[in-house]
Amino acid sequence: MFRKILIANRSEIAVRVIRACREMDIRSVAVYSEADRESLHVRLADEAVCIGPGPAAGSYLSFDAILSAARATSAEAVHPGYGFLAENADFCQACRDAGLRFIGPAPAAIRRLGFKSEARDLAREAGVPIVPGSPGLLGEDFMAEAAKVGFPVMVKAAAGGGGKGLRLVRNPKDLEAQVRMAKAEAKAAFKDDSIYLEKYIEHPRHVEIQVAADGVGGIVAFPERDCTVQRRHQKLIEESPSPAVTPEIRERMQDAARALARAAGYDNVGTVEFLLDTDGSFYFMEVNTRLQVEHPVTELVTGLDLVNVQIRLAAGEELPFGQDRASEIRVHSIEHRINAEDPAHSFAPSPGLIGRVELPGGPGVRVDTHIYAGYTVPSYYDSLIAKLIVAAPDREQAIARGVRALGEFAIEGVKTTIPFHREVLTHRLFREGKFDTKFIDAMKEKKEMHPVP
Amino acid sequence: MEKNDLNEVMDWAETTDLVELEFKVDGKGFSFSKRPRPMTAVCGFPGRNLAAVPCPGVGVFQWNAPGSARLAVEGKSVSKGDLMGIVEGVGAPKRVEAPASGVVQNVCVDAGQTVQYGQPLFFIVLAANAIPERLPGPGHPISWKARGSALDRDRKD
Repeated sequence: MFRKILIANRSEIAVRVIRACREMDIRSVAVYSEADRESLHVRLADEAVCIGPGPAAGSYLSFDAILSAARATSAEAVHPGYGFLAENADFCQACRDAGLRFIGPAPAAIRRLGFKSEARDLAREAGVPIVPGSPGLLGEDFMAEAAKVGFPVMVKAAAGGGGKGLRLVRNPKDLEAQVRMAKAEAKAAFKDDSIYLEKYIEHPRHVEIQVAADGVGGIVAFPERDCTVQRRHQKLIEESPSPAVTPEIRERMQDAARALARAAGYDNVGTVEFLLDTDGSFYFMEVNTRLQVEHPVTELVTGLDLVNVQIRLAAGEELPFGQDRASEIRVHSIEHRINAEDPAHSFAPSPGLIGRVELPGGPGVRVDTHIYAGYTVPSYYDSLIAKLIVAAPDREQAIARGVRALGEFAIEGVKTTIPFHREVLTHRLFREGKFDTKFIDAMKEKKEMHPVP
Repeated sequence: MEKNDLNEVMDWAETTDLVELEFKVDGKGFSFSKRPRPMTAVCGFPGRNLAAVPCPGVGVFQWNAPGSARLAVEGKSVSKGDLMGIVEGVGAPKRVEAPASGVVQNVCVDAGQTVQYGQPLFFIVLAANAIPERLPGPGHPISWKARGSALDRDRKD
């Protein structure tokens, strides 16, 4: 086992990894930017190294700075957390070249799964369902292709991103005009007008499967996490098990995730994301080759420590349990991402000095955070300041526990999304579990809302 | 001794590099000193004329590239941009440069020492022309206006 691990990250996830290290009797090295001097991860780690200025390019994203800190402290392994360099295959390779173990999959797996098109091809080969669409780039026969896929369809730019060159077409007679507009938009935005077609899923849910693989044949898939409560593709609430997933769907999803991990030669932990349709069919979206923000949900549901698992796998140990253990659902768990944002003003970031913090407690309540009274939330990084994760015997009790814990949770000095989370938990459609990924936007815009079948 | 005689002595002393002078006959006489009186510290902050030289990155500090002479020593004058040391980590070595012109007062680092970003490696006493301007004073003076003046009349309560 490693004697010392450097954590190439900040905030609550750095704290989370330090805690796992301490329980495993591994020394931890925190790295921090000048803006994070006060952060809790700096205080909790056994050693801390200032690696650069506030902007992440010179600190948390700098290979040289992080690897220099690892060398200076004689760390043996690097835990990348999530975000920053966590899914950077070049960084993973640079760690290896510097004689450090990267706590995550091999660079080849990160590369293969990081490119969406390659990951899709891999999924297809592994028999994992993908969203029906045009086999390749769209030519002049778009009408025939669309008819094959079935309306409504989504026209997408191949070089796409940020909603550019994205067109929803419900009616076949609009297709020609929309294809032309999407091409023009893609050309203007990406200098590349290649487009493709995909089936449009009217009421999608975002459901993902956590996997762990030891590289020598042991691959397990955990119960799903439902991350449907999103605002502009930003997850806000995650829960497990999903109110929309039956044991039969779960088993198919877990099988699909394991098949994909096997096909990719995956090792360490990762997450396979799916879109779940109302009829129970699901489609592969992408793979996250790292620990997820929402990993505690799975930890509470299964009673396992995923960071511990991650470190052991990276150190070359084999998975000590099989699929039966991984499949166990012991509780219902819900995570709330508490952001320093003002929900009343379109979730604008709200950095600043935190005057007072009161963390909730009691049965089934876990808080992962790096803040404390007197801490200043810097403006350089994302606005996640805490995660509240509750566990209870069933969904109804978990919601009641969440409402109670959010009521105890007091943060003064910055605006937070705590009131927003209470609003969601008390919403009729959330309680009924009948919502899709558009739920939050509809709720914020006070649109008329109907239960999703 | 007359006061005029004393003036003569003092004028003469000005032409020398004497700092203190004492003259006594039978327990009577005079003494004077040109040494400035020790100032009592007003506060514990370093003066405006003192600047830290922060470390540019993580690594091992060296005085200079291998085989080159040490440049930064206490009491030595440096100009803005002068090399004061290098930090060797992963990637290209980083230059420690004087942030302004002045005289090296403190050396807080030694060759072979592990250093981190932002750590003060030296303090330099800034040359007069390198001292930053004073911060602006407490804003504009407040001028009161008589009741009934334009300002008061426009006020909406």
